[in-house]
Formats: sequence, C-alpha cells, structure tokens
Amino acid sequence: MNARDRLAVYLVGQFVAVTVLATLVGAMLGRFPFGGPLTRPVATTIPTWLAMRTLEAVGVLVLLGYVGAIAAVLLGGRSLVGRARYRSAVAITTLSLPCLVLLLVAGWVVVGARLGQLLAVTALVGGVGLLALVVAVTLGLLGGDRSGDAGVGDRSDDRSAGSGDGSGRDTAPLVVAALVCLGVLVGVVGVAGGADALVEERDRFGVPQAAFETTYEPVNETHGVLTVRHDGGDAIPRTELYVRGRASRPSTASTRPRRGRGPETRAGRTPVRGSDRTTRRPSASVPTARSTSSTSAPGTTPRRRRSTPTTVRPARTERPPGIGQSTNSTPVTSKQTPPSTPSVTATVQPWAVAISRTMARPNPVPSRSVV
Amino acid sequence: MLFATDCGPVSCAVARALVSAVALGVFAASEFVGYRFASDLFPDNPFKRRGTLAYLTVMNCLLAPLLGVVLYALFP
Repeated sequence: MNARDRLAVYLVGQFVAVTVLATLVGAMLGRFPFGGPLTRPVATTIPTWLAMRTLEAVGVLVLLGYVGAIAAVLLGGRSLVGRARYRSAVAITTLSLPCLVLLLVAGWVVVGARLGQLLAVTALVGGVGLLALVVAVTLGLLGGDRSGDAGVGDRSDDRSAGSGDGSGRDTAPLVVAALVCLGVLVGVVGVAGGADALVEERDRFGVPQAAFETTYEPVNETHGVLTVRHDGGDAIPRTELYVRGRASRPSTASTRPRRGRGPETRAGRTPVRGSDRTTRRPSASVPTARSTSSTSAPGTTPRRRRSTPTTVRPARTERPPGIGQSTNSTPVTSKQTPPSTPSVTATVQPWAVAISRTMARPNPVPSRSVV
Repeated sequence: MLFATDCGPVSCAVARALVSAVALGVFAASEFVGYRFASDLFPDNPFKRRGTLAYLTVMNCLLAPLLGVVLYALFP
C-alpha cells in the first residue's frame, strides 16, 4: 500500500473503532439497543459523566462527518477523477443517507422498534464505512487504478502517493472491508450479548433514581412558567409521578410583607399529566407545583436556574387523588397566574425554593443501573 | 450507572489510573501514527496536512475516552 492507501485504511479503522466503542458505551448506558434514547443516566461518577459526554460528541461528529464527506467529494473529487466517476461519487454520497434512513424506517416497521434499533447500530457501524469504501474506490483513491490522478492535484501528493512499492495496491479495499466487517461483528456481538454485563444491574424493586431539571421562564413581572422536566435516570411510571409543593398567595393589602412572616403559602400536589405541558392555575382546591412568591422591589427580574439531579425518594404507599397520565420524560409545567391585585409587587421565583419532589414506587420495569 | 469495577476487588483509584494510562498511551500512539501517515501523504501541503491532523486529533480525543470507559467497565 502506498501512503494514500495507508492513510485511508487508518482513517477507516479509526472511525470504525470510535463507532464500535461508542455503540458499546451506549449499550452500557442503556440507550442501545433496547433502551430509551431519551432517558439518560444520572452522572454521579467521573466515568459515567465522561461516557455520556463522549457519546454525545460522537453523535454530533457522525452527523458532521457525513456533511463533511459530501463537501469533500463535491470539492475535491473533480480534481481526482473524470467527470463520470465524479458524478457517480457525488450521487452515491448524496443518496446514501436518504437510502439508509429509508432502510432503517422500513426495517423499523417490519421487524419492530427493538430490532430496528439493532439494525440502526449495524448500519451506523458498517454503513458509513462501506460508504467511504465505495466512494474511495469510485474516486480512485484506493486500488490500482490511478488514471485519474495523473497530471492533476498536488504534485507532492502525487509523488508521495506513488512512492509505494506497488505490490499491494489491491489490498487496501480488502483491508478496509475487513475492518468494516470486524467492526460490525464486534458491535453487534457486544451490544446483543456482552455490554449489559459491564454494568451492574440494580435491584428491579429498588429505589429508582432520576434527575429533574427546572427552568423558570418569566412571562412578566408578576408571573411566569416553571417547567420541571425529567432530565435523566430511570423511567418512572406515569401513575407514580406528581409534583408536590406550595403555592404562595401574596397579601393583597400591602406591597410589603408582614413583619415576622412571609407570604402566605398553601401546600398541595399537582398530578403529572400525559401531555407535554400541564398548565395549572392555583386555587384553593388544586395547588400547583411548589412556588413561592417572594415580595421584592418592583422591577425585579426573575432569574433562571437549573437544578441538579434529584434522587427520587422511596415510594409511598399512598397515592394522591387525581394522578394523571404522565410520560416518563414529559416536561411538567406549572403556570402561575398573576396576583388578583396589580398593586402587589410580588415576583414569582419558584426556582428559589423549588423542589420537585416525586413519589415513585419501585419501578416495575426492569431498569438499568442508574445511581 | 454503576460500573462493575466499583464493586470489584480492585479499587477504583487503581483501576482509573491504569485505564487512564492506557487511554493516554493509545491516544499518543494513534496521534503519532496518524501524523506519520498524513505527513507522508502531504509532505509539502501544510493545509491538507493540518486539516487531516485536526480531524485525526478530534477522532482520537473521542477514541481514547471511549476506550478508557470500556476498559474501566471490563476491569475486575
């Protein structure tokens, strides 16, 4: 192999290695092949945090790599080969992703979601590598056909590319194909058979762990929207999830808080509903998520805050009435209405004392190790 | 997520140190090999050489931690 072939084999091998390792780590994190892609584990240790962030970066890079491959073929392919080969390479590169998506959707429909995810892993590991191989062979970057390289391109590149011994010119595509097949084999075997054993399975009847994210979006000076979102961790049955807290009701008589006591509050629970957003108006009978109206100077701008991962407490036997249907990763929104009197200069700052307390029974669904 | 290493006979500190050393070694070796290949292919073209090296470095920055995580999970 000459210098160009060696670099091509190296790049393909590196890409396959990254993809296979990312697939295995994704399987360990519970995303592949049978996990919920939207459910993230709670990062409590450095390796877990590293795995999550690296996996996200790999996902972004794969998408950017596809766009970069199209750009590279469009910009650099013409200088390497003739017009017919150039058009073929552009067509292959451009149509590869839509065809892959169609195949995945068709496989998803035919074999179901679970096997569809496994097919997605296989296509991710092998499809991109095979695409690179086909495009490289079409452009004449691999193998013995160098007719397209003559007289074009960088002279130094051509000189170095032709400096090989010439005895193994046809071995590069074979090596690339072997790497792709090996990557597919390791990925499929690892995901289907072994990656689950690399993490500890928690007791299925143990305490579920989850993380919640709270964001506050001010509507005006007097009210806003508090969103509590299941940001990661175990899936929680919708029937076991609700938000409990206190909703304050500032005094309507004065703009200042009474000496020695804060704003009036009332406690209660809000069921989590099945829709993406649940809007609740505070009333005497139906309290909202915990949000306290702290009396402040006029014009105070509510801040936003992102909460840290919250551990789901052990289950309680009681279930509040009216628990609705909630999806496991449904954002829950509690909307505070403005005070009845405009003279009250109260700013709702639910984030200040917001505690999304979730009562969850042991997850009936076998869950992965999340702490 | 709890890796099996957390409950194994080898302490986490030792396992992390060994895995980090291996990951750094793989990163260095992959960088060296990639730099050599890119330099052989583009000896007089710094733009192509640096672009290839940038891509290689980004991929190695993903390869090393992924390998470390998998090895850490495999650690007894």
